Amino acid sequence: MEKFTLMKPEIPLLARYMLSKGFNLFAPLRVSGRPLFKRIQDEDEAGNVSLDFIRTTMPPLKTLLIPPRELLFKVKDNTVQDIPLNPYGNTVILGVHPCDVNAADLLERVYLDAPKDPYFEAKRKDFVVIASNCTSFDDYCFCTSFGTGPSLEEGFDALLTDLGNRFLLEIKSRKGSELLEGFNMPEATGADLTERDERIRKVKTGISRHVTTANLQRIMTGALYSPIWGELAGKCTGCGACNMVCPTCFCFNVVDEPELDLRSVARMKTWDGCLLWEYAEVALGGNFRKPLSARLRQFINHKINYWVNQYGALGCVGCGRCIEQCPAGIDITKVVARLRGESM
Amino acid sequence: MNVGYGNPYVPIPAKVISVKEENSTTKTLTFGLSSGEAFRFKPGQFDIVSYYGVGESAFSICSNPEGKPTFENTVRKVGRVTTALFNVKPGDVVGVRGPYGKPWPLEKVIGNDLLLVAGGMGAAPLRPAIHHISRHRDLYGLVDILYGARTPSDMIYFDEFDKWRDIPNTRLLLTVDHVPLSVSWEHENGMVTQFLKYVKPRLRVTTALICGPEVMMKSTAQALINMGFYPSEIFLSLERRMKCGLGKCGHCQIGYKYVCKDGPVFSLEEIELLPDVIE
Repeated sequence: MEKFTLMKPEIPLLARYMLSKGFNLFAPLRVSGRPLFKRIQDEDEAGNVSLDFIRTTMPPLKTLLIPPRELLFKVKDNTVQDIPLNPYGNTVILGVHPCDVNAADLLERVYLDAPKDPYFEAKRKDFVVIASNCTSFDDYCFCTSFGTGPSLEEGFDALLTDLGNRFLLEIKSRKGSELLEGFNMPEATGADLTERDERIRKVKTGISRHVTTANLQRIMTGALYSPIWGELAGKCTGCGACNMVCPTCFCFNVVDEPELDLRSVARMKTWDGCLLWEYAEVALGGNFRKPLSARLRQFINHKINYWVNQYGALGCVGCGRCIEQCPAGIDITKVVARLRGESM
Repeated sequence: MNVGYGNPYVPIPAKVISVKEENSTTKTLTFGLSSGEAFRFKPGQFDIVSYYGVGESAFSICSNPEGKPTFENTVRKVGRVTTALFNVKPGDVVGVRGPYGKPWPLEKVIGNDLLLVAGGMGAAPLRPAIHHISRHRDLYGLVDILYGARTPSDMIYFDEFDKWRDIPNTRLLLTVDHVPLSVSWEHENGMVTQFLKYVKPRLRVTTALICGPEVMMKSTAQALINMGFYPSEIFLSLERRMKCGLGKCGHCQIGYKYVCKDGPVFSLEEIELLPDVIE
């Protein structure tokens, strides 16, 4: 890996450089005080890009790879029209944290499993991911339980690490080096790498929220009929916020939206979530997960039980979003601790 | 064979060839691919039919798998897509994807007796199996078909029952829960499970194929287990909400199984320990 450094005020320059090379750029900005991955419109906006954040509410890679509303195709007079599989074109996503990079890797297991989803595949191929190791954390973070953070070894094209007054920039792939060739930066020194390791170590040892993963599948399967699900359902509102913010939740609906000419139809793929009542509903009002307890059990077991059989890995990356956003205070890490009989 | 333009979400055009009314809410639609290609499938598989502007839904393919290049879906008008399809006319064009899913294990149980148990609309995925048995009658032992419905008019394929009875060494037992006073009914009354004991299936050489409402499948499977069947000898075709048929949209999951790709046909052994199997 080629390794460089750039000073903190140079991040906007880096963002502008990407725009000048003709890339679409998605990067974190502060909107009403909250960090948000946003399409950077122009050089002025590029000036406001800030990598100083812990967690965005929406996971950036999932939101771009499988957009909340995605056009599958248009039909006119019963004939399917061609549409681009990646409407974003060449795109850079700057500042993605390790949990979200690893989540995209998990989404790939779902969407590139045969038959491949061509929309996901096209975007995955075209996107350039500049990840950002975590040098800060908060009480919701638990990536260390799954080895999905706070730092990365792979899954990105280039990788930034905040070293205080400067960033370390490590280039991993050909896509990454093609993007950054021509952007002049001094080479990193051994001291920069030592500082990176030290800052990451501090985060690793600082994160205290935890899920014990040993025998997790066996424990979850053993607890499928535990009273805990009914008890939690008493608090859960069934709002599906956990589904929406989860970087590995991938479920969708397919809906037709007729256009005003009444001859054209847009077939859309839209996010769905297993916490929602309609999710398992079938003809004549049948519903295989009528009780909220069954839906909550599905969400949690899918992440940390069924994923292993389906895709060979746990489906949680420990980003903490579902805990942070739950209006009822339901906490997947506490659920596991209780089922394990661990004290919190 | 999956037909399509290389994009698994894009249906291919199919023309409505004919429409047959089964009862006041149910019709069997015969489709032919507009390309003229045959639509190849195995008994128990399903397809996804699009009525553009309304949406798409999954249906059991219910026709003879080795007959004409056309194929059939029986639709009951219960929702938006099924109502749109209920109203199609010959010549109309729809979109079709598939076939999808694991078929009935007919190739694996050659030489066995077969016990087919259908409830209501559950006769649809079993009908291609009956066609298959009829065409390859010497491959199987005794065949019993038990078909139950709420009332006589809830039965589908009524005009084919004589043909089913005429298949050598095959019995057809029909039963309904309820007979309206105005209807003459010369068959049985009661749940299909009540009649299993009269069938006297020969243990270890009989394979049961079941499709119907989930409560009916549950009671039938339970009755067969009580009679000495092993869970590995009982196969059920499950219904779940499906949006893609490709193992992506997530809706049809039961535990770690996807009904669209691991099913819709499962042995009882595969699913008995999974949560949310029975509504």
